[in-house]
Amino acid sequence: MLMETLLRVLIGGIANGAIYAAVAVGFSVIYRSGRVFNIAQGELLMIATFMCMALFGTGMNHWLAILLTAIAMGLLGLLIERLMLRPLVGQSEMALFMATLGLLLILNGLGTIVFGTEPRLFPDVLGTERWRLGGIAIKESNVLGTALVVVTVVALAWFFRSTRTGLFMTAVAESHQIARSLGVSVTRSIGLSWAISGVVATIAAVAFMSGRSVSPDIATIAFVALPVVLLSGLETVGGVLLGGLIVGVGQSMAARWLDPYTEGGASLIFPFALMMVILIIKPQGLFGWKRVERI
Amino acid sequence: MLKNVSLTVGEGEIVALLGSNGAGKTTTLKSISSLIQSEEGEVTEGQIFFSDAPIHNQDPVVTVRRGLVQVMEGRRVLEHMSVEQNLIVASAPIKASRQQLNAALEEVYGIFPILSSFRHRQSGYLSGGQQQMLVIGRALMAKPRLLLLDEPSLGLSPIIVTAIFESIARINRELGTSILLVEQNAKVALNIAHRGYVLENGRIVMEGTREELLGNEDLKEFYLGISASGGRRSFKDIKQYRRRRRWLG
Repeated sequence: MLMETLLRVLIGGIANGAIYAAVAVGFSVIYRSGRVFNIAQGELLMIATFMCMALFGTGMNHWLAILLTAIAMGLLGLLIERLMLRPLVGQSEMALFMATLGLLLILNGLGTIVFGTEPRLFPDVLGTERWRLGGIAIKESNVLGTALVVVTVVALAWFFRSTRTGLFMTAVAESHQIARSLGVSVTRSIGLSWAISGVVATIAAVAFMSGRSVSPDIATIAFVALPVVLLSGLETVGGVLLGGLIVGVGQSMAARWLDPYTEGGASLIFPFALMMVILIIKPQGLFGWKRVERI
Repeated sequence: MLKNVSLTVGEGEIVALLGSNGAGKTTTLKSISSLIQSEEGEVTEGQIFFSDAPIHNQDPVVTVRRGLVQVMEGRRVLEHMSVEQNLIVASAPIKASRQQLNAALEEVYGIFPILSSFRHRQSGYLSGGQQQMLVIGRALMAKPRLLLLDEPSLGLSPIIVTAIFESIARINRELGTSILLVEQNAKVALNIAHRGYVLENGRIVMEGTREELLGNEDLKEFYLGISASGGRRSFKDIKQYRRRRRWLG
């Protein structure tokens, strides 16, 4: 009985952790290149979700619709970088952050206006089967969604470590000045990172929303992804998987065993309490870059 | 701020640019490479040519692509990346194939063998001398025709400095790369340079061949620490007015 509960908590936690990781990787890809903390990452997820649903509504093939959404989101990322962030090059990190906060408010408002507040059902693109594991049912869409996120994050981590373009972008993450002195175009790297982030938002939407009812306030999921990205470290790409796992499973445990006594508060507080503890003990996160001090 | 700074570096030459703290050496280099733009600086008057084409105030990335690479002061390695990753990043300006990239890596490892044995080590944890070798080797990845070196001897032990300057001379000899070398350490710089300039307060106050500069009394006294009699002399023996003299002539 206890084993079954534990397994159920674990599985639910992993599925939640995957979506946090997917949003967190969007944060870190952008932060690495431009030192911009894009607080509007959740809004990108929301737009990708509704764009997908709008295309599904025209009756076209689901996978084609997803592909088109990914392309459009990539272009939207480029557009945001071009129109909003490039004019701010050289400004403080705080100014850039405030700009993305403005973006969040604009996109949030637009989302409500365009898509309405009524929850709608996102089609089951990842299947509706229920598999049984050790006596409990697992949704096929959760398993496939989690796998999709893991594959995406691993592929991105490989890209940044092993391809030349990825290495150029990592160099930009280290220092704009050094990158420029080596002939690496900083603006192009930042643009590319926004495009990647838009595409990742689409993948996250498909992985998580399949078979759920959605409304524009799904964007708030990004706030839970915030502790994940701080826990794993702002510069890491692959590390968000572990960060997502810790926050996801921890949150689902808190929901099962603590929430009954706290009227649902514990699972809400857990990610942020964890974030604060992490910031005190290891300010750069689990895999973030620790500045090398030489004496 | 620089004024009336006029200097040339010929094909295959090593030219030393000497001067004390705050003389404007780094500013000169950054103006040439356009990296001064990172500090909101610009060339307001005068011109800089590279192979007969004007290069002042252009995008530094374009300058690097044309074959002019600056090695910045202070061993600016990409500290979270490995030695080899540092080198690969620096191949950005040349659209190299896999084979060309490997050939370029082997060339750098040939000049600095120690980098080869540490190729997978995180560059932030290398010693100062190894980091200096890495940043010079990294600049070579872009196949430069002119290399600007800013204080390669800074904070390194004499033995390491000698080794690094030997490598610089070898780069010039074997690869035919022209080099503009900024140094406070006039002695080691003039050891390998063909010609030199002395910069003070943003102006060039002296220029000449290596022999002319090494023979100059003022330069000997102020930059090489050698007195007229040929022996070394402590700064406390130099009269105050002599020590404070500036090259305004």
